[in-house]
Amino acid sequence: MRILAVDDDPIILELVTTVLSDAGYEDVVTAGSAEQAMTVISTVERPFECFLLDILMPGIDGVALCGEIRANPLYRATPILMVSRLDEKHHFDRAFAAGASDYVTKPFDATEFRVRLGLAEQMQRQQAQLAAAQHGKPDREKPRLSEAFMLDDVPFSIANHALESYLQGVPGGVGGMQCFALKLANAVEIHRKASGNDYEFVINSLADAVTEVLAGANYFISHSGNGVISFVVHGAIDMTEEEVARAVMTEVGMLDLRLADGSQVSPDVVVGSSSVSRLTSRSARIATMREAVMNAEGIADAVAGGKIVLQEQPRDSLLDRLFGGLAA
Amino acid sequence: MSSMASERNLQPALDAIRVKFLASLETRLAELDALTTMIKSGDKGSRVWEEVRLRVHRIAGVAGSLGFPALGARSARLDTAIEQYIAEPSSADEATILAALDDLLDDIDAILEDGN
Repeated sequence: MRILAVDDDPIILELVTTVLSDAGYEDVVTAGSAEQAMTVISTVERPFECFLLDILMPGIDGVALCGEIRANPLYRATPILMVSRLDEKHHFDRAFAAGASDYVTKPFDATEFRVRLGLAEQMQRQQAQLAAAQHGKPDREKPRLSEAFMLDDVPFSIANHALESYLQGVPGGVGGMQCFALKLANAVEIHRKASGNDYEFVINSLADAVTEVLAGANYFISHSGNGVISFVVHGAIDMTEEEVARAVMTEVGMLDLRLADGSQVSPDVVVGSSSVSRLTSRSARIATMREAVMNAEGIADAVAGGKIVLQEQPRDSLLDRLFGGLAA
Repeated sequence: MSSMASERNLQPALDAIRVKFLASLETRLAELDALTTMIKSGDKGSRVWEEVRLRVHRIAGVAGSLGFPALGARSARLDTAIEQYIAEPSSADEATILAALDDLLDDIDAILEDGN
């Protein structure tokens, strides 16, 4: 894996190069500033497959550099790992919003370094396989139902893996987090009908509906595969969990979705949620997101099993029943 | 960096970087000393504090990985304090931060005298 490591301290660059080499990554280029990194990126013949960026640097900082790299179509999905001290995690909101995929912490720990780089390599390999599979084809191949493909041009969208890293790494502080999962209950049916990139279009449209509701709030959103869109609201928002979920379902209800063949699709969606304090452990934050997904999937299963009917009753009544639980 | 030290072929390379870090400490100390003097003599612009922070941040980023955990921890605490002070000068007392900076310089001095 070809890596570009950027840090303004030559000793840290030497340390990073040594640790990378020990972990089996020998193809490493270094840059002493964001400006130098951008020059290297624009002139290099063979593209990089992973970036390691220090956050605080004089001039353009690592977060801004991350945004610059992400804006380059060549590196739209390339792993970008931020290098940060444990007590610097307050920069993470900005870093993930700029497109960071993951992070490694200083002081460096060999095991953590290997794990993070291993994940990055896995991610990079999947992207390369996807690109190779699509090469030369006039239309994109339909993704598998379970594939957690990246949302396209959706504000604050990040890779599913990055969302998990964010939940693990985000620091404690004031304000809680609200985790939501939108489940497309009839994903299997829509996926079966869809051809080409129809299915991605439907998922992106649903994500866009979510972002309409969350406009002005701080959030990250990700497609998790199997018709699930996960999103986490961090910081203040003037809506309760239930209000967010209701607004999303209303917004989705107004979508006019048509596939490439002109046929209309009606997405049946349910929204699960769960909230957590930032002060809780990282495993608790991950568990909270899973709880939101399970919440949505549980309701969707109930819909599929006929316990709740989505189409045949007034919307408000339906929402009351959804939030009242499956026994309602 | 105990887990690093346990790696098979890593230690000799880390030792060499550690030697370079120790050699660089003298320059880092001199630069921080000069910047501290500027602040104490009345140059209280945020630019000077940003220069101090950059140097403290660099030490914080590398010291812990090269076998100087106390220096790394002290630098990290000071880095955070200066970051907050630059963002909101009323949030902290400059004299307190300067005292912490003096303590850091003393630490570096002691490491240099000790030679390891």
